[in-house]
Amino acid sequence: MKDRVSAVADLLSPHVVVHIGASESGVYPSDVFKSLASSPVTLYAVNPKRSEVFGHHCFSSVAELPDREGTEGKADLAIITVPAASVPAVISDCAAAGIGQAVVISAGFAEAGAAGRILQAQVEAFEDRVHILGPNCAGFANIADGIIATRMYSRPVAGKISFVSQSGALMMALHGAFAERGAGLRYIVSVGNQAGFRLSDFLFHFASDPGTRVIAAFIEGLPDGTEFVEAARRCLEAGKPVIAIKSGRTELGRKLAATHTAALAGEGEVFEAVCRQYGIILVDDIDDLIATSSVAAAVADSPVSRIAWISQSGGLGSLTGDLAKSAGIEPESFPPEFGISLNPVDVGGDKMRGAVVKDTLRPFLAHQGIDAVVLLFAKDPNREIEMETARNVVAARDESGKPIVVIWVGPTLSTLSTGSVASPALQVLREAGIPLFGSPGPAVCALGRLSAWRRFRKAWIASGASAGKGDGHAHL
Amino acid sequence: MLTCDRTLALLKEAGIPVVDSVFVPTEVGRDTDALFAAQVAAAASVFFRRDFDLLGVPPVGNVPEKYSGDSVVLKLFVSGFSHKSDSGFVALDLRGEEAVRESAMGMLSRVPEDCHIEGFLVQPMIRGGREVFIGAQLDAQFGPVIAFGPGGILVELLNGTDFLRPPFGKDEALLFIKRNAVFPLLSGVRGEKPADIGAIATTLVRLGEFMLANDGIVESVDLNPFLAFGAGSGGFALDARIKEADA
Repeated sequence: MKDRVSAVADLLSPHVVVHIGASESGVYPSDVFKSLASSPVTLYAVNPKRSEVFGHHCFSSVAELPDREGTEGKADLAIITVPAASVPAVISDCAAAGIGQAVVISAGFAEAGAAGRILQAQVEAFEDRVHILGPNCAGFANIADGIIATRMYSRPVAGKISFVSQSGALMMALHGAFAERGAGLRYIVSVGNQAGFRLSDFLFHFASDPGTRVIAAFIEGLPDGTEFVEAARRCLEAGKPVIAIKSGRTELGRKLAATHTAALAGEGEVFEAVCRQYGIILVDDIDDLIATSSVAAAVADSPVSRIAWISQSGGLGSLTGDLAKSAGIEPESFPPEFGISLNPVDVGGDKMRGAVVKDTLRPFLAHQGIDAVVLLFAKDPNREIEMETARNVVAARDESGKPIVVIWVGPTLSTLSTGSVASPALQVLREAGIPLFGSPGPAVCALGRLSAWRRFRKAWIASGASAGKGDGHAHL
Repeated sequence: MLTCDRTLALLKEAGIPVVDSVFVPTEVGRDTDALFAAQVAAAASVFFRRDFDLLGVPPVGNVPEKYSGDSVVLKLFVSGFSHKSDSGFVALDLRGEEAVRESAMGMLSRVPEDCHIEGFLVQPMIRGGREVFIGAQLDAQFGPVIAFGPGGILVELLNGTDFLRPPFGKDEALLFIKRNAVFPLLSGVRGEKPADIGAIATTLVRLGEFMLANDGIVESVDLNPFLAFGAGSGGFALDARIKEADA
């Protein structure tokens, strides 16, 4: 049997999936089945009470599934949505059928008192034969390959961020919020009670996954601090920022986390110190998690140490300059050949409207002394001409290969504005994966955090902390 | 809590500097308090004579440079009394053997009956240096962590205790010190010269090694205060406590 970290790859990229408890009713039994049915996998349904589910033949048990040639297991992965009391028997069936990975979506385990803890122990007893994600989780999605083993509220956008969450609801809710910021996702995983796979296993996997450039995490409690530290070290070595929220840092939060995913939350102070030591960017709230992750993904290939801040409004430019300075990223003066010294520069409204914006941006983006551009707009984006503006911003970025972040202060809903554009400018920017902010503070804060992270990583490597000082952990 | 002499011996072995001290243990069969106090006063004489060879080991932390030689500190260790100064078991700035003897007599008279006396610790009175807190504790999730921050009354003012998980090297310890709230005070304000940050870093590294070597055995270590002197002049703890983990 593979160790958990190696098994993550099998979990996230199954070829044959069996959904045990598939149904046409019940939120998870039906929605997860529909997601799987539209995924590029061979899907079997198991439910002794039904003969078919949404037109798929339904087997009465796992044992009935056809054998596969050349492999022992009848499936690569089982998705389980039966009541908690039936889960141990179902896991036993999976073990007998050679199915090495199971996602237990069912709740009612360690988070639900003494009887639940007994059930969870019965499930854990199969750990040498079946790797469990959950129980009490919301599944996962491999968005890059289109394998959706969870409920999705909207069409996912593929990208460079992998998100692991202890909370299932947050995992499902946030993919749309990432998309709104122009950020695409690669994997999203909810780990629930962490009976088998742990949050750290996914950090290890993401650290070595070439498609993951940025890692986001929602943490309530960790079963093993040492594993977490080693995983964080791997991510830091790999140059992938881990942006994390930790709940349960107050007494109330700890109590809530314990009833939510049965997690033992650690001492807040020591956890925060460990995050500082291993370069985890700890943020306080969800907006900040999304903002920092989306900017990190957009600038993954850029040093972003020299930013040109280009504004359509003098007021917005000077406010942003103040905020940038206090975030530790005071804008450097422009190279002398620009003939302007003040950064942010106020180029005026005419040069920031319509197709001309591309000509405005070209010299900045072409200059080797400038790594990235932040554009500052203060106007109604919901007008025909601004779609032209947005398209040309995207074109300028694509032409130069340098990242652009847009701060657009103005009404975001077209219903509130005088225009009547079906697909407003902001949508164009979003779909092109440009990080989009309605106010300078969060954008500046995100850039400041990333800049501090890069400085820290450089000093950390120079201090020799990355080399050979591990604990001799099994994953090294 | 480990006894005073055991604590000092373990820290010395681990290369963690504590101010040179002479421990005078209680001896079975010693007849009177007066005799005990006289022995303590005699032991203190090495400091008044500045005769550091008699300490039996080379002084750590450059004591002769920091110590004017005119006074000592006396501490009485009684089992169950961890707050020595609150119980009147610490006397500062004692000048001469007679003052030491009198102070020792006074302390012995204040020990409640049936309490076990470990012994007296005599240390030179140290002036100057910048106070920091250095400690270690066993965290339920992350194992041993080394604590560092402002010392003395500043602990609460700055709320700056930070933690670093061993193993780590000296350069990583330096990064850790530099991010602390106390760092501006250590690097010197108003023309003051910088403190010996390297000595703090080395102590942190060794304490980390000590905690890993005693993983699961030692619950916590307190070096409070730890005094850092000017750059290149080293530093040492004035007080040390080691708590064992519950078996």
